[in-house]
Amino acid sequence: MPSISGTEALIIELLEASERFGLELIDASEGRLKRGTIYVTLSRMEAKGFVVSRQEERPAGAIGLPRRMYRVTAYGQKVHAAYLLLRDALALKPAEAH
Amino acid sequence: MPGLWITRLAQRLTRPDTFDRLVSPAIADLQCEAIHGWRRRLRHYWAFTIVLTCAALRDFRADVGTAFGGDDARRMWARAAAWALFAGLCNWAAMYWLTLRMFDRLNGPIGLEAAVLNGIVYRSIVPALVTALVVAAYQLKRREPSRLRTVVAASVVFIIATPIVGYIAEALHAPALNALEETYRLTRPDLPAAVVPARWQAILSGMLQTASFAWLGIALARYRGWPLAFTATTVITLYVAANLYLAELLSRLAPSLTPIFYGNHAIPVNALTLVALIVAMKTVQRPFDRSMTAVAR
Repeated sequence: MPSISGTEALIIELLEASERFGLELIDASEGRLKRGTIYVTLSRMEAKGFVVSRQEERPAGAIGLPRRMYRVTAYGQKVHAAYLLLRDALALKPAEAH
Repeated sequence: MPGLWITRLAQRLTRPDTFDRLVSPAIADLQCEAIHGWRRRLRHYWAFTIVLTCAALRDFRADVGTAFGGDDARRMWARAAAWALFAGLCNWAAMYWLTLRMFDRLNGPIGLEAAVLNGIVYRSIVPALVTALVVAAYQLKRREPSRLRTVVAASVVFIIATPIVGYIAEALHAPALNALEETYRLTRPDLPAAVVPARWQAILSGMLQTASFAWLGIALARYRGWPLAFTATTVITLYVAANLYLAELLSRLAPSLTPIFYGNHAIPVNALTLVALIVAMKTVQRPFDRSMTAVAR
């Protein structure tokens, strides 16, 4: 049974539009994602199979480390959809649930 | 280019896959942000510290799993426990004999002798458990020559466990320590009063022994033949000499700290045990190595 946290769900939402790297996700989240946790969360999500990553292609002779680009997987989207369904169902009042 | 030194540091501290997946993205982003001024860069350095801590903890957990998990590791620890038992018996015999000799000279008060001899059981077992780490470090390093990290993880577990074991066994340990302290006072009436409580003396000396013994295990696994004997002899000599020298130096510079080193009386006995252990290990290992080589051929 896969588990997904609120932060992981937010990252999947942000990655649905396009492939992004860590810093882009922080900027796009408008303060909801923190620098200290984003890389750890992304690494954990990759281990769970929610996202995949690749190193960006860079011109020859570029200095510094290549950035890692993240993309959501079909499995990640499926778990996210299930998470949204569950969240909406739990948000219903008991009377509305019937 | 910013981030070069932290790249080198992180590569040393983390496993290659952890560096690749977790740490390098943070450094790459830090390098991209370098143009935005020192404030943003400082924030990213803070984030990098958190990432590096998480990465180191994750790797440590994996290394501990490698050191203690699996049938291979269990067999190795069983072998280490057998050696610890042997070392404990050697320790106990040597300390028992030395203590009886000391009491013969002392003509000490009645009752003190029994307390000290009871305490020797504890004082023999705990350092013997630590010597098991030598065997384990030797085996771990031999099993995975490139994985020094696994040995370090096992050593850290032992170093953390040393004060915990000491604390749990305090009920047994404290009367014996007090009796030993009293005996030292009778032997050396000129000794100044201890400023560090007996409990801390035992914990500090235990942790010191654990770290140095693990290093000895690594040294044993790295060298063979004459270099092995040379390294082991150097390590033990340095270890004992450093303790004696420190005790001597401290008795002159800081007399109030001297009892810490006198409290650590098991070290020379341990060193003798270790020499015996190394010789025995080599004797056992040699035919084993020959048979393994024959099987491989």
